[in-house]
Amino acid sequence: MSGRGTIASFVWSHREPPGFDLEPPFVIALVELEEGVRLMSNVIVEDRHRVAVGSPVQATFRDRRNEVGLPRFVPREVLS
Amino acid sequence: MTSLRGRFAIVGAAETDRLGRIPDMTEVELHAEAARRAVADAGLVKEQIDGLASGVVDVRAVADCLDLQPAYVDGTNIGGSSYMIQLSHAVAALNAGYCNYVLITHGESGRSRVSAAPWPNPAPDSIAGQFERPYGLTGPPDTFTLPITAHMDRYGTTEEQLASVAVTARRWAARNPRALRRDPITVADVLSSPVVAWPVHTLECCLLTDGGGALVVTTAERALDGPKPPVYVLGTGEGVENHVISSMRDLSSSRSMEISAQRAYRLAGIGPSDIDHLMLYDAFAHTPLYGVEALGVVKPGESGLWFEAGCGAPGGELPVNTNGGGLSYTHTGNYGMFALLESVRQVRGEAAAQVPGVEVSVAHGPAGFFAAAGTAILGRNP
Repeated sequence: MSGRGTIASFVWSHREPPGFDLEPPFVIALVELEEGVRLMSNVIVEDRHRVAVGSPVQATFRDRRNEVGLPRFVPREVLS
Repeated sequence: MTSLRGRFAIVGAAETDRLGRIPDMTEVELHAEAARRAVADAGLVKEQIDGLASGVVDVRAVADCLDLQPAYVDGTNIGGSSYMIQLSHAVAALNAGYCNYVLITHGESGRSRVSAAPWPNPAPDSIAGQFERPYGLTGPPDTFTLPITAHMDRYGTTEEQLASVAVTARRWAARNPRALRRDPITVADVLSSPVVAWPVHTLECCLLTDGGGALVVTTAERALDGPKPPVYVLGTGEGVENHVISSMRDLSSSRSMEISAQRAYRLAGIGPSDIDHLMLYDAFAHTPLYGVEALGVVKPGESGLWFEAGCGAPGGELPVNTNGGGLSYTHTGNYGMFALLESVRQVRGEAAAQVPGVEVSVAHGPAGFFAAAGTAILGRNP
């Protein structure tokens, strides 16, 4: 798996799930991987404008506590 | 196959006396009160009821409480539009001769949670428990809403258009004394209400209430004996698509709602231009957008413009959610029964915000987020 994908849909959740490591608002997204599967995840991002449907993202396995965690995504720079 | 159109009819329809906050009634009591009122509305006595369908509360518990011994039971409970699906099954059962009168009941303590089961969190080793919940999903407000940004991206649907669905519902609610929220709101009010899961704001989320409702369905021949004009079942549909929102096939449209709508149209022998009045399940402001597109009332992608132009509002071309909808009337959790009941009232001509000359009304919505769907096409004439 390349870990590369694009955002298929997302919301900025303002809710506070018990025990969750991300502070609201955080991004819940459905990510389409290049290999053709779609999965639920989070996009870890500071800049709100970097999240949009179609935005390229890259998988990361580091969560906020810098421990190995869930597969999540960060914005991916695209060479043009 | 012989057409079922117009051969069966709704003859009894009623809600619980109160809607909103009912902390003194359990869920089965809400079912029972709605059932008593619907059976009385049909001019029947309990002993004539020989078919029973219910959701939320187990159909066995409802039968026990009402002391019924039905020859036909349906416990379909796959989400908010289960009642359209139960109506569909009731027509089939009546056609098969299993029974003569089917009672369909709903009652839910959505707000007070009296006797209600805890909100079902998925098991940790289920698909949703493993692959969705760990990412901070908590329930309908951040899960059911998730597909809407795909619709916005694909079609240019705007936040203002989404908000106009809530404004449309409130404009109808203002005309209905039984609606819980009746104060006028504007698009600006909606967009300045607290964000729940952007792009969805508090005023774009349904109410959470207590209440119940019930219907009685029978054959067209028996329907003529009742005190109220029969509301004929012209067509019904049901559809399923996905188990979890992650596996919804196309995020900008609902396949289950399309399948359900198409079957209902086929059975009824009508199309979208024949609809005079429309009830669209509005758990959130986006579901009516998917609803009018699935029904073909508008082309894919045009639903936002349609609501923004006031097409579903008072004075618009096709009145939508004339009771005020789940957004402003009531929403116990499984709202579909209330959509059906408003369709019945409009066809009978007894609604609070009555639309003149309703010949055909459609109640249509998703069930279990976008997992499934149900549709009912009702008419004044067979």
